[in-house]
This record gives sequence, structure tokens and C-alpha cells, in this order.
Amino acid sequence: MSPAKQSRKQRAAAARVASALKAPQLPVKKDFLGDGRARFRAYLWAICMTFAYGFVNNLLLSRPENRVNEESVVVCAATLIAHVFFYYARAASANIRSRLTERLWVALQQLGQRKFTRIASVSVLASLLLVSAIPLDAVSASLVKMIQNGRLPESVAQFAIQEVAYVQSYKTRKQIAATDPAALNPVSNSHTWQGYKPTAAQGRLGIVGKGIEETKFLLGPSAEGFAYTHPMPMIFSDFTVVSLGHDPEKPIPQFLITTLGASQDVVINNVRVVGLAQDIENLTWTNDTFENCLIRYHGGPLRMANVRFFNCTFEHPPTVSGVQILMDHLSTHQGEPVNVYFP
Amino acid sequence: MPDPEHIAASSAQARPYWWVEAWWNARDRVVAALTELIATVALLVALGFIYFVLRLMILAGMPVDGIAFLETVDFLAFKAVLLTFSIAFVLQAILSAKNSLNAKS
Repeated sequence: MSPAKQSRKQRAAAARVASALKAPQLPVKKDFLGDGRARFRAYLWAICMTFAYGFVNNLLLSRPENRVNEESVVVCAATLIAHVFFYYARAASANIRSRLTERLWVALQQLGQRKFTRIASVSVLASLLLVSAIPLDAVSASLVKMIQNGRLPESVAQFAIQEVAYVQSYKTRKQIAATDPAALNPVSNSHTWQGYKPTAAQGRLGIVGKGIEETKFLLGPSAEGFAYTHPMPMIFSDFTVVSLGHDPEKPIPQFLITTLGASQDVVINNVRVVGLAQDIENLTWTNDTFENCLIRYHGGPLRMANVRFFNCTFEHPPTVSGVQILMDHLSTHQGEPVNVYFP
Repeated sequence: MPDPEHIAASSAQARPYWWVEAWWNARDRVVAALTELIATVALLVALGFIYFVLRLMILAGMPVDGIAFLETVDFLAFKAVLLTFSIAFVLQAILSAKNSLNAKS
């Protein structure tokens, strides 16, 4: 229908509708509490300003932390109040800053509406809460203690090492004496020291270090040896002995001097010996390493398990054929783990 | 002039579920505030988790000097978030109270 054919009433109604559409809409009352975008923008700015203030003053300018904390409260409050004030005071303008926060807000809204995002957020939040429930200081302190001290008091740890060494030596005997049941008899039973029974308080005589890398003994040129053995249960475990050289007119210093007596209950476990001489008989060697050493053997009882020789010289009486075979074997298999049992 | 206590008592008798009504009228605002509260806690916990990971990295043997800087930054971010939302909640409470007073008058 053309406008010319409309009635007068119809034309009047159409004009009223058109004027109503053209009329400026009443301004909507602003409410900061109801405007999520405005709040989001204010929070974002306040966090950024506070963080930047703390970063510049505390980290870059190295100002005292207490002062920076107090000033950060003021900065944060001022930023938020300024945002609220400007929200009510001025008309909205679509500048770059507001467009940026607008896009961030839309992205957050879209993410929040997706079911997958909600499930993932709840799961992450739950796991974070669970992890954060553990007190951080207690965890780090206990971890440090666990790493440094192995969670054991030193005396208990030493006794445990001794026991492990004893078990290892016993297993060694069992393994290397598989063909000779007599080897399973404790050596100390047939000895004058058979009444000696080590207790937890006493432990065995000897030296227990903290490991080959951690505990190192250096022997000067004047030293005759590292330690004396006795015909009784002893333990030498978890350390390194290195000779710094010796007087050419004197014999090479010994690692363990056996002139006072020796026993197969003297266990040398996880020890590294460098540049020393050693009579290896009548002792129990487990998991040891000899480097550039002079090794003497005269055909006495010998127990060895997982012992390695690197660049060592072997000295033995030429008449004993069994010893000859053993020494030849050791000198030709240097660097390889050796297990030996000579009753 | 009637006693104010008498007026309050009679009003409470006349509308026993006034608090339900009040909550129902403000439910959008309450839900929004709770959502913000949850988001705040999540953000703080996430920053705390980063701090925890950094401590673990130090324990695992990473050099302390490099990680100490990251720890400080993380701590600053934590403080910024905590401050912002603490002040924001106070500000919102003030604004809300002001709106209520304006609506009554």
C-alpha cells in the first residue's frame, strides 16, 4: 500500500511510531556491581599496576620490602577507586584499552560457556587445592633432610652400613664357597676371638665413610700405611685412600697392615685404593677397586667378590702353582670384576 | 510517636521470610560475588602451585640464584592478586551498601 492511499489515522500512527524510534533512548543507569566487564577491567588494571609497582621497586630498585608492600596497598586501592570513579563519571569511549579488555572478557565468557572448559577447570582447581594442602615448608624441610641425611640418624646409618657389609660378605662367602661347604662356617668360630660378639652399641672396629666420592683419605710420603688389622671382626667401608707418593728408599706404604694379625672377618667393602701396596690374603674383599697398586699374595686364604684391579702389579712366590694361576688371571683380566675363593 | 523497636518487631512479624526475599532479589549479585571469590582462590592457588614447583626445582638441584628471581616474581603476583581482590570486595561492599541506602530513600 502506498503512503498516498493510507488513511489519515494510519498516517498519524506511522508518524508516531517513526518518531518514537528516532527519539533518543533514555540513558541506562550505570551499576558497577552489575557490570561484569567493568569489574573485570578494574581487576586487571589493579593487578597489573600493583605487580608492576612491586616489580620495579622491589626487584629493580631494591627498595625495602615492607615499604613497597605498604605502598602497593595504596597503589592497588587507588587504581580500583579510580576505575570506579571514572566508570560513573565519564561516558564510555571505545579506545584501544577498552577494546582489549572487551576482547579478553568475551574470550573468557566463551570459554566459561563450554562444558569441557568447566570440567577441566574444576579438575585443575581440585588437584591444585589437593597439592596446595601440603604445607610447603614442611615438605621442603623433610625432603632436604631426606636427601642430606638419608632419614637416619648418623649412628643408625653407620650401623646399617656395617650390617649391609656383613651380609654382603656372608653372601660372598656363600657364593664363592658353593663348592666347599666348609666355607659357610663362620671364621671367627675357629679363632681365639670366638667369644667376641659385636653389639649394636659397639659395632665393629674399623672405618666407615660416606662413600667413595664423599670420603677421601690422602696418605703423605712419610706414611707407612693406612690402618692396622687385628684378628677380629673389623669393617672398612665406603671411602677412598689415595697415596700422594712415597720415599723411593722405603717400601710402598700399605693400605691395611696385617702384621698384628688378620681375619676373614675383616671386611673391606666398597673401598677404592690408589697407589698403595696390599697383602690381600686372609681378608674378605667385597666391591672394592685397586688402582696402580702393588698386590701381594702368598697363597693364604682369600675371599673376594666383585673386586676390580686397574693397572696393578702382582707379586707372589714363584713356587706355588695355584697362586701363579690366580695372579696370571688377575693381571690379564684387569678392569673386570673378580670373584675368588681360596680356603 | 511509636517506639522503633515496636515497629521493627511488627515488621518482622508481618514478613517472616524477609531474608529469603532479600536474597532472591539480590541473587544475581550474590552468584557473581561467589564466582569472583572462586576465581580468586583458583588464581591464588595456581600461583602457590608455581611457587611449590619452583621450590621442588631447587631441591632437585637447579641453581638457586636463577629460581630465586622467579620465586620473587611469583610472590609479587600472588600479593598483587590478593590485594586487588581484597580491596575489591571491600569496595563492592561499600557500593552495595550505598545502593541499598539510595533505593530506600
